[in-house]
Amino acid sequence: MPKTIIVIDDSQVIREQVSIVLKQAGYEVVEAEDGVEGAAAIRNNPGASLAICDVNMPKLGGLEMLETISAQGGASSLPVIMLTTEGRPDLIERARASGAKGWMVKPFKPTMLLATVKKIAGAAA
Amino acid sequence: MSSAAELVDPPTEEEVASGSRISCLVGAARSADEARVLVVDDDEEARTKVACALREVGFIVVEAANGLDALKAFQSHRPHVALLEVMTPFLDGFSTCRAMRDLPGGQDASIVMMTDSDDIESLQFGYDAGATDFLTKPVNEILLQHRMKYMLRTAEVVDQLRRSERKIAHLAYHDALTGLPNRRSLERYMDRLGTDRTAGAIFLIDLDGFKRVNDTFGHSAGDELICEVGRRVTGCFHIDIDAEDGSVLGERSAFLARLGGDEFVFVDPTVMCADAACLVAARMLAAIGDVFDLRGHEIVITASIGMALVADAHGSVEELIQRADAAMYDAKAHDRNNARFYSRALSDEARARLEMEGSLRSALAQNQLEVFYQPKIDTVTHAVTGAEALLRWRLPDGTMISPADFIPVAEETGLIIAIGRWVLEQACTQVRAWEEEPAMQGLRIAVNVSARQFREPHFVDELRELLATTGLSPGCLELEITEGTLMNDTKLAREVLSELKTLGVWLALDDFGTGYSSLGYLRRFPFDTLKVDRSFVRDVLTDEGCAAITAAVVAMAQRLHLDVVAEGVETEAQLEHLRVIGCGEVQGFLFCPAIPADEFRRWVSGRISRRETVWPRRMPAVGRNSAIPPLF
Repeated sequence: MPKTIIVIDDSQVIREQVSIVLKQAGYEVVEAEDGVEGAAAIRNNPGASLAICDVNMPKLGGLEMLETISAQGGASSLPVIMLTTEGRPDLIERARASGAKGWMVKPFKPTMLLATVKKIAGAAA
Repeated sequence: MSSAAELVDPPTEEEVASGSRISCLVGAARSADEARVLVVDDDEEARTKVACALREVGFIVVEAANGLDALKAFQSHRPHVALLEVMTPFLDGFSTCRAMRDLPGGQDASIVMMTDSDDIESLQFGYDAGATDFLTKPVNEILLQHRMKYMLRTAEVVDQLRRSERKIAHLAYHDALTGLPNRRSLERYMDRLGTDRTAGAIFLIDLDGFKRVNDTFGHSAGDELICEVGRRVTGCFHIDIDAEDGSVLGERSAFLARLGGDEFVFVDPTVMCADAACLVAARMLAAIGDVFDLRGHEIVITASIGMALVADAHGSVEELIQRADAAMYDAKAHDRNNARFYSRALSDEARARLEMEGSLRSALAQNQLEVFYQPKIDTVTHAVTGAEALLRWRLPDGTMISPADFIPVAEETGLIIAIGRWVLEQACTQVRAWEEEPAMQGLRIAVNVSARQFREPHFVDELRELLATTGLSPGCLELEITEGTLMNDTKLAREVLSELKTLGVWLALDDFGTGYSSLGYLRRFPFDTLKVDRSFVRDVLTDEGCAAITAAVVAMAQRLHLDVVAEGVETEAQLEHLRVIGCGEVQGFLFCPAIPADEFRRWVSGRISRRETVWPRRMPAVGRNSAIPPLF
């Protein structure tokens, strides 16, 4: 069974770009538009292998979502990498403290994204 | 700002945070041992190899094992070069590169990506992410050492250019003497601040009597004082200025600019009302008013401040500054060392005054000024004894401007000195010409001398020369001087008056009774004539007080052997009254208003043909009053 990756980004273009790369590599993709949807997707997909999450999003930002999940103690086994235009060290530090496994600054390089995903989630199938 | 070349130690955290030293660091002339390199690789062995190779040739090396630590190290060490491994954990090399470029000073550093030799695809992506160059792994140490040295030399040239650009930008927006923002900077600040806001006040600060400091202690001392004033005002408030281009960091931060000379503009964007503005102004006045130690001299200088609220200016920066300017002049006019608020009336007045000043300057150049003559008449014989020369201003369209309107402006601007000189020349030349005509002989012309003219250092010398060049007999000239002129500096007044007396001209005390009217003046100063002001003459028949004062003044003048001339005589009854109490001469509409020279000549000739003769008075005796025993 292929591994599932949750892609959380308010930009449809980014979600599509990421999905194409992941699907070509054989992953299943679940998309979410903001932190609230993202948290729900994580809850509803307990078998997912990884979440790729934006930082600045409406309703609930990526860092806040991460912190909420980490505070609740749930889904802590799901690795999360942040994919964002932000590069401020204090934000990166916050993500790491909340358990994020990586941070990538957009625009992303598909091979780099895949290499990171494979390193954390393992191969697609 | 400190000089860039002196900096060798790493910047403090504070400096890093403010970004104040980055340009200095990267711009400094440096050798390899002053250059810092950040090496980022999670492979400790590879990292150490690179670090050692660089240390070997003198570089200061900082190491980091991942992207996040690399960013932190960049913030605290400000490296000139960062060597980034592409595949670093948590934050990859490309991401690190992008984030690094966004850090303060990140645009100034050289960033070199270390990648595997076959990773061609990464090159374009890395350049897009902001990489300066690439090194392929495994890194050749010799190549690395030389590449880094070469890169630093190249970077230095670029940095010098960048530094020059910044310096030029700084100069364009800053005052060279104080380092404060200049007028351009103020305009930009105001544009950014916006004038469609409810808060904010502008303060125009002008030092009082600064010229005197320059004159007394020299210009370099004056410059020192200006700098100190700038520091004091800056010290009073939280003023945030970005070191590079004078742009303001905080929306709520105050702003101080030097417009030039001794003029500063302070803007406080948080002031909500006039009362708050007054408190701010009071703080500035107190700071400026403290004793200065100017090269061992303790001096105190005050300032006048004009204030205007942003909310009142209806969105125009220009109007805002004009308002503060008008208010500042108002403050100057009121004892100085104070702050004034703009008001509409003030602006109209200031504008009118400014326009008047401009036209008055051209009036003198374009011969719009004229000297009129008003005859003085002997109360007993009705003979013409002389005339008072009076200045008139006729615009090209024929309109006459009242002396009451333009004389104060001339006084304030100092134009009165040139104008007064011109009137004296005109009058002396005219009277000299009349002396050639039998009908006009023996007339004495009185000319008003303003306080400023009187205090001019060369006033007496110039008059002596004027008398010599025109050939006018000094006894034909009388100078009318007001009490106010004498009051400021009685010692000087005494000296000038006695010199004038030595020249042989007549001296009249003008407007007697309107000012402080110290009777002592009459005794102490060598006057020949006392002029009774028109305000007493007007009410002499109706007001007992006026009548009594007039009678007393005339009696006293007689006792002192002074001639008395009453001004503003309009009726036969006034004339009769003045004659009876012993006033010797009068002038006024009853006989003739002030008229142009030609008309005056005709008027005098006409009276002579009607057998009313010119009646020459006695010549003045030098020091005539000195023999009279003091009365008061």
